[in-house]
Amino acid sequence: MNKKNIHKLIEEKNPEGKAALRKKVMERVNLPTEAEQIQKKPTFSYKRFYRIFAGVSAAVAAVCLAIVLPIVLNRDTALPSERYCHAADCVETPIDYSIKEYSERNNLSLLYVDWYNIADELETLLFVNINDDKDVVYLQETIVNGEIGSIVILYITDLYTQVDVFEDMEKACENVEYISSVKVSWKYKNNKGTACFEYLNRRYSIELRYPMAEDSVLDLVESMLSNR
Amino acid sequence: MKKLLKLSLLAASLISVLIFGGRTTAQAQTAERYADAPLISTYASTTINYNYRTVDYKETPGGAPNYRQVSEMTNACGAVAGTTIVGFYDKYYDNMIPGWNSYYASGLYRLQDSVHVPAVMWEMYDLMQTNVKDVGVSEQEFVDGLKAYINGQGYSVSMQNVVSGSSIDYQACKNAINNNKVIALLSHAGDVYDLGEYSDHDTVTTINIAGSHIMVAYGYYEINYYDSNNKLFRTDMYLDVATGLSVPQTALYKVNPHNLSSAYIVNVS
Repeated sequence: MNKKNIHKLIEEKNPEGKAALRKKVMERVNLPTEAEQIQKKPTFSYKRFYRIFAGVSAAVAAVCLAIVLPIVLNRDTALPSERYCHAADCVETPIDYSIKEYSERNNLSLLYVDWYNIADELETLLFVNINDDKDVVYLQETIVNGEIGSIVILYITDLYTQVDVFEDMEKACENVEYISSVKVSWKYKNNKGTACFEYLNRRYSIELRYPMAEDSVLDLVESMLSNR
Repeated sequence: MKKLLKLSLLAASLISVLIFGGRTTAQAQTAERYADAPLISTYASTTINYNYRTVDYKETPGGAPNYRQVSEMTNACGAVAGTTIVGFYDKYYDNMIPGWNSYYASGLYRLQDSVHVPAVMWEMYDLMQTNVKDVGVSEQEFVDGLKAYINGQGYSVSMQNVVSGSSIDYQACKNAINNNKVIALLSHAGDVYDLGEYSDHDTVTTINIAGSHIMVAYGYYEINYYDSNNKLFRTDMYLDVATGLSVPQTALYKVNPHNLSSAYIVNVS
C-alpha cells in the first residue's frame, strides 16, 4: 500500500465524526462553519441596491422640502439676505397711526420715542420699494413739540437692509456711549443731535433738532430702550 | 443793378434770421432745467485733522420749513423751493400761506400739512410752468413764478443773484442770513455734505445730487482749520440748506468751490 492510499484511507474513515468535531471546534473559536460561509458569501443584489437608492433619495428629498417649503409657503419668514438701497429709490406712504401702533399691529418689537402725549404734530411714513409697494424698506416718524421747540425724527430699518443715507449718518457719528449695554454712536452739530444704534434685528437712526443740551439725544435713546 | 442789390440784402437778412434765430432757439432749448434730483450717497468720507479750528456759524431762527413735493407732482423742486421760501416768510409777513401759520410761537416751523402747503405748492407749480416747455423749470421760470406768487399775496420781492461765474459773494450770503433772509440755490449736479465734529478732527461725508436741483439756504457755516504750527491750512465755507427731500432734509452745501448757476437772496417787503 502506498502513501496515497493510506492518506485516502484516513480521510475516508469516519467522515460524520470528523464533520461533527470540526463543527465543535469552529463554534468554540466563533468562526462560521463551511455551510454558513457558503450562505454568507456576498453576491450583488439589485433589490438591495434599489432599496438603498430609494432610501437615500427619500432622505435628500425630505431635506430639500424642509428648506424650500417654509420659503414658498411663508415668505415673511424666508431667510433674509443683505440688500443695499438708495433712499431715493423709495416712495413714501403715510399712515395715520404711530410707530408704536404699527409695531403692535404687525407683532413687531419696535422701539419708539414716547413723545405722543406731548406731540403737537406727528407724521409716520412707510418708505416702500419703488418696484414693490409691499416691501417696506424703512419707517420714518417725525414728532414735533412746538412748545419746547424741538423736533425728533426716527428712522428704522432691519439689519439686512443698508440704506445709503443712514450709512452716512452713522459714519459721521464717532462718539460712542453704552446705554443698557447697547452701543450708541452719536454726534452733535449745529442745533442737531444724531444717534445710531442696533437693537433686536433693527437699526435705529435718530435726529433731535434744537435739543436742550448737546447730549440730549442720548436721553432719548435711553427712554426708547426703557420702553421695550 | 438796384434789383440785384435789393435781392442780395433780402437774402442776407433771411440768412441772418435763420442763423441767429436758430441759435437763440437752440440756446432756449439747452437752458438748464431743474427737476427731480435724487440725493445718493457716494459712501465717501474725508477726515480733516487739525490742531484747532474756528467756526463762524449762524442760521435763521427756527431754520427753514422742510417741505417736500406732493406725491402727484413730478420734477417739482422749483415749486418745493418756492413754497419753502414762502413758508419761511410766512412767519414775518401775514398770509404768505393763506389761512395757515407756518410756525409755532417758539419759532419752530410746522411740518407740511395736507391742505395749505400743498395748495401753495400746486399754485407755485403752475406759476412756474413746471413741465410745460420742458422737464422741470428753468431759472427764469422759477424766478418769475416765485415773484408772481409773492406779488399775488400783496408783497414786493426782489431777487439778488450773488453768483458770478465761479465766484460767489459769501459775505452777502452771511449778511442776508444775519438779516433773516433766505437764499435760493440753483445748483448743477454736484455734492452736499454732512459733518461730524470732534476734538481733533472733523469727518465729512459726501452725498451726490444726481441732477440740477433747487434748494433753500438758511444758515452759513465757515470753518478755519489750523495745524500744529498754528498756521491756517484750510477754510471750508458752507451754507446750511433745506434740501426739499424726505431724507436728508438738511445738508451742508459747500461754496468754495461752488457748483451753482445762481444763488438768489430773496428780499420781501
